[in-house]
Amino acid sequence: MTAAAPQVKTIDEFAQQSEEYQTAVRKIVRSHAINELYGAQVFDEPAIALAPTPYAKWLTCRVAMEEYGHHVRFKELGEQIGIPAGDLVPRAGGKRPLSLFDFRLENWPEFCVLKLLGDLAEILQVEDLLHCSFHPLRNLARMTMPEERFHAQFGEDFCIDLCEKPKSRAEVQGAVDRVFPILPAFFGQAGSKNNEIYRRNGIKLRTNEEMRADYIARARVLVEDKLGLRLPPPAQAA
Amino acid sequence: MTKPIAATRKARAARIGAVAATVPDGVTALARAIAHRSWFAALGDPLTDAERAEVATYLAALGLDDCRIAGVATWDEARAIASAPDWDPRWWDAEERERRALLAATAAALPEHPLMSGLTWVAEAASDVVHGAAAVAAARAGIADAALIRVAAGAATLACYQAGLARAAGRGDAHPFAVKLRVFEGGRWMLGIVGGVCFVF
Repeated sequence: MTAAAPQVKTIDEFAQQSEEYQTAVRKIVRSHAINELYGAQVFDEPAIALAPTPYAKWLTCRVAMEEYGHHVRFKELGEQIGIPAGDLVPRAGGKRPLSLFDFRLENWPEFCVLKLLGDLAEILQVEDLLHCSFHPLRNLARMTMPEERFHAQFGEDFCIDLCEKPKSRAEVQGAVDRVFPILPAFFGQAGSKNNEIYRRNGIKLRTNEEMRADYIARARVLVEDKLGLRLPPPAQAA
Repeated sequence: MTKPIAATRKARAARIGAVAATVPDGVTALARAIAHRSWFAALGDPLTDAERAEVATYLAALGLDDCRIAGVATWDEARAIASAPDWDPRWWDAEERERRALLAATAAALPEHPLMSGLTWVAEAASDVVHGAAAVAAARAGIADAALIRVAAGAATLACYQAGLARAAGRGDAHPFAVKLRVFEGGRWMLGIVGGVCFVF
């Protein structure tokens, strides 16, 4: 973030910013709106059927609603800053979803690992917006962050429970082996031109490479230190 | 900073207005009423005869009238029952069968978009309200378990969604999803069946 980065406090002020700034913010808001809805539809809703007890089923219902609520909030902000409503939902021919959403969810341990590691990736993305120069987006990030943290905690708590028994511990390890390699790509390409624009305008703080390295380090703490499992090697994950 | 908030409210009101214009009346009425119900207000109180009768009606409608009914006194008991590994899945499976049957019935009678918009509206309205109500009820009982509060909110939101679907399909007040919602609206939480007993908090 440079000293010259603007502080944009309102939608009216947003409309007065450069084309580069407006385009950059719209890209981020659109991405969050689409991915929050994709996550709810592809993972959270189907996971209700996979959950082993009413407690887990209802909690997953709640998580799905919160993810959907995040989509609604990003969609509302997107419409306020001039993104057509149709561009803020997944659709054929629209913005390509993250490769993470190609993952075929088949069992409860996989979902718990997705929450543990997938929502950690989401937390890092949202953390990077907590000081965003566009204040409505900064405030939205601050609003959604507690729920994102809870979703990751949900994954951690259930993974810890599953790891208490040898059979389900092996299932969690298998899920980590399948899920983790997909996730570092979530942070975008190294040397990204978009990311350079985001940082120059104070919209984001860190490079994709910095975030990816931080993500892998934090994932390692969760998987190896807290669960006592093995994280696939970074080379395999890259 | 007031402009974005005002704009958000305006956008939300416009969105709700657009949804309300297309969804079945019963679903609209349900969504509008959610904010005015007694969510989780009677947790732990002894069950009344009328409440037992409602729960019995719900169980009979799902073919589970062999179950006894029992009240639950505390949040800790509720947590244990909801997470019992030996829970009886018949009620969940029966609800799922009924949900799929209602979706098939409504698909034949209603355009998909207004139906989904209406049910999403119900779930959104419930999600906002019931989580706060569950948190207040838990706090009154000295419970600060964020996950358990969300579990309660998830159960109530699901009950709202199911009742909305039943209304969209033209089902009346005797439908098991309508009965279940009335139990929740009366301040209760139906926890399900364990060991042949249907537990109600």
